[in-house]
Amino acid sequence: MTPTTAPAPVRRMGSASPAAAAHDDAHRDSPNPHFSDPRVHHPTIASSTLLVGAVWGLLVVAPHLQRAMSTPALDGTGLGWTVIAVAAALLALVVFVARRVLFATITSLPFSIAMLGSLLVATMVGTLVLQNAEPAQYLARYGESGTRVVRGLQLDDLFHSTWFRGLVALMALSLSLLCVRNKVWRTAMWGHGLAHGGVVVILIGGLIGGIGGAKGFIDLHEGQTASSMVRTDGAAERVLPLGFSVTLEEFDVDHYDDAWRLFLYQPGDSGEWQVKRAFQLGETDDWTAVGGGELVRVVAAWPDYELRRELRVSADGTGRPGLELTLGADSRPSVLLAGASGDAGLSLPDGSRLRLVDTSDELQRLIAAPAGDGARHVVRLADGSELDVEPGGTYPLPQGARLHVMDALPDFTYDIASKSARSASDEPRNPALEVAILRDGQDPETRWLFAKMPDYGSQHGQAADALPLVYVRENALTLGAHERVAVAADGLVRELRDGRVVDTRPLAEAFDGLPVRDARLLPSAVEVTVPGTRSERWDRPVVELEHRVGGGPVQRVSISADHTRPEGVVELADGNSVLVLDKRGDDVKSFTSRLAVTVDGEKVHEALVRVNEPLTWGGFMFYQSNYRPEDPTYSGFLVMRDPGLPVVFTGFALMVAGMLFIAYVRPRILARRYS
Amino acid sequence: MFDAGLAIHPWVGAMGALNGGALLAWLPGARKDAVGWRRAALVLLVLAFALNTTLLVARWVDAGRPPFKTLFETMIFYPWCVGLVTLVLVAMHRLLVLVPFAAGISAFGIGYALYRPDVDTVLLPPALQSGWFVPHVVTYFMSYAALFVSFALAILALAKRSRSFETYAHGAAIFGLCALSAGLVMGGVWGKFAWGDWWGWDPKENWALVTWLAYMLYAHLRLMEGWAGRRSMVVLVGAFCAVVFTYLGMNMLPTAEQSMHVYQ
Repeated sequence: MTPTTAPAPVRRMGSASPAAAAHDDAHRDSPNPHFSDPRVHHPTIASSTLLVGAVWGLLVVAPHLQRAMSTPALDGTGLGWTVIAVAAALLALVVFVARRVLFATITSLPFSIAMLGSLLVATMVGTLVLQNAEPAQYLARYGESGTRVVRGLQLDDLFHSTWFRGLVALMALSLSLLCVRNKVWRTAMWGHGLAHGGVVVILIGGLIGGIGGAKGFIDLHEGQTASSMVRTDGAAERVLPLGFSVTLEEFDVDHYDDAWRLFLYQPGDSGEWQVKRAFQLGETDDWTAVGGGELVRVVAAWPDYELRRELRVSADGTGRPGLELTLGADSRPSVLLAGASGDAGLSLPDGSRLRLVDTSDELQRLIAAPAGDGARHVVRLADGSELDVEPGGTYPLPQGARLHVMDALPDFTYDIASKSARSASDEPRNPALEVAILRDGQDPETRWLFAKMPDYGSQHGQAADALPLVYVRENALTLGAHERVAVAADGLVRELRDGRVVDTRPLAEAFDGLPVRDARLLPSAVEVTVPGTRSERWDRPVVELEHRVGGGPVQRVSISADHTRPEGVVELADGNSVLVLDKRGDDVKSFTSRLAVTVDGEKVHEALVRVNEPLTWGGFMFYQSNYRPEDPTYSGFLVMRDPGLPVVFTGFALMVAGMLFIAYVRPRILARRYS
Repeated sequence: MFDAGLAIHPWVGAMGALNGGALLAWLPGARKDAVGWRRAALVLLVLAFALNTTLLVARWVDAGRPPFKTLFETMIFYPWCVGLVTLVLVAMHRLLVLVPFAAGISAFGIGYALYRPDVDTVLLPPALQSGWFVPHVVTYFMSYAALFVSFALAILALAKRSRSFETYAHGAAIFGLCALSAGLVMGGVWGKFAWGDWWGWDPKENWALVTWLAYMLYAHLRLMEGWAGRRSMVVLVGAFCAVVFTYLGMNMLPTAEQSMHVYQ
């Protein structure tokens, strides 16, 4: 734009070493008339920057002008078009008159520097100003006038603005003309041709993709078929037919399965608990130092924890008769113990209830007894005294304390998902009583009492001075409409309907026609409660640990994945660390969709689509890109059509090859030529 | 049970100590006649590099995936790349003067890594399970290492007014720029297969572009009359700031939360 009369630069090797000299660009060591012909314009960085700035200004103003021209006042008068035509003609005239200067400028080194610098600044600004954000965010961050500036300069979607695209186009023009001017077909200039031309090729590929491409989405559930996609690229035609159909045959989310860890938490600098270390539950049961001199080892791990009742043959014969049988698909036997008042029998698959009594006399007493009214709840205190309690009631305790009974569950289970306790059934398998101990001037102390684990509280970190309370549940043994009663003394099972014996069979035949296996009587048995796992699925793991400080005594604790339970957190001896059993967060290993391609009703192709492994078919690429944890058969696909892609990838290769040529091949060619 | 993350940390600490030792040994070695100290510094750097190599291999085997996922892991990988570039230049051009720079940045990186350690082996999300993961990251980190070396040499060139340092700085910068371009292009190809776009105007991508443009600017500026010498060295020093920002500064950007690339 601004012709200067600066003398042609004197050639000077940039550096003393041949290596650096060889790196020097064509602008200096090629016989370029530009440097010796005083008639030719010599642009400077300043003049080039001015040119880029002028173009930028025009491009920023252009959309505003266009909008102004299309206001209702001017619309239809033809004035808008006249102004545009005149402006275009003027611009064309200026370009024509100044074509030599313009050509010399935009193919010059200073212009390339101005161009690179402008794009650098623009890109930086594009990361500093919020892009495509909500209007409220702009107002909050930049204020009203700031937001006006941001919008006026199109900085809120900078990379898709008219001016940014215009500058990129100007760069493409400059690079193309540069290739012509530098005669890149000469051997020594191959690298320049490839590197600069490569960038042009990439931009052309991007342009082709922008014009002929399409971007959209397909949502499928397993078994569903789509033959078109919904475009998300703002095209007027929202639905684009594919020309074929894709069917989601199967969708799988694969998780990393080693996700359970013991995490060591310690208070961080600002006092909040932070994960300091993580321990994998491995095969090894070696002592592991967890810090603070503390050693920990895993004794047992149950992936799907449950407390199981089992019968053992009484060693000294002082036990009671017991019955074991395996129901349905269970892998473990269910058990009954005669005379255990807490035993309300077993539900059999035909709806009947199975009980065990010692003798036929006892059976007669049962039949004669009046209908009972459920269970009796008893809380036994440390001094041996007993309280008869009901949920909702409040009872006096020693030392002025009071006991409030909140809930009684016959079959306590803890639901990890909802983080709440509930009863798994009406059977008194794991009776539990939720109580609050009220003391004046203190917060209520809430705890669960488990009938089958009377020493649960003392095992799980309750303070030594806490009131020891024992829960006893006595179930009223009353007969229902359909009962089976096994009598230990004669080994026979009576079937009762409405209190009358309708059938009597030996144990081995008592359950014919029912899915009951391996029934056996133990004349003298004791019941034990053992921890076990319901399945191998890591649903509600409990890990049993031993820990000790140095050579100190070994303490055994169990730690549960449920952190709201007392055993959910293990405090270590240093008073500053806790161990927590937890699952790692981001544990999806892969999303896999099996897609079938159908043309005219015929399946022609099938592919597994994963992240990083799109399906390419018929000019479209299908990307695994969405899933919904709550909707496991759903899979979402991004669909792209990009006819410019081969061009872009070619440009990538050309550009890198060109740069390598300039950097490492050309110096050798020149060195040979000069020698 | 066994430690899922920290087992490696004492060794990382040892590696940091070796690098710190190399830096300390250089201090008396800076005197012209103290060849012994300089050699000691080099030996310590070689030992640190050997330990670094072992740690990377061990971590790779242990995690069952390339150890380039987290900031902590890259803070162990980056010193390795710097060490490699430095040792190659020491072997090729006797550029022993790079030893304190390499040791310094390595010690700094490892210190930062241990200040913010991984407590667990982070699993690889589906997007990173790609054949492009290793070439893309390795190319980029080799580039960043070469560009650090060019930065160090540019400072030396400015401080000592040495033409030969300028030459070496330029060589390292050009190597770094070539690798930067290759890494950028690989990222584009990977992005196309992972996300559907070879360029998404993501803040991290944009800063990678800013870095690339900055070095492109250097490569062109130094061809201008009067820019080949000290002025282009100043440009090199400035351009490395873009590298540092692209690597570590993303969290400062208001647009960072829109990025898919930011190290957690």
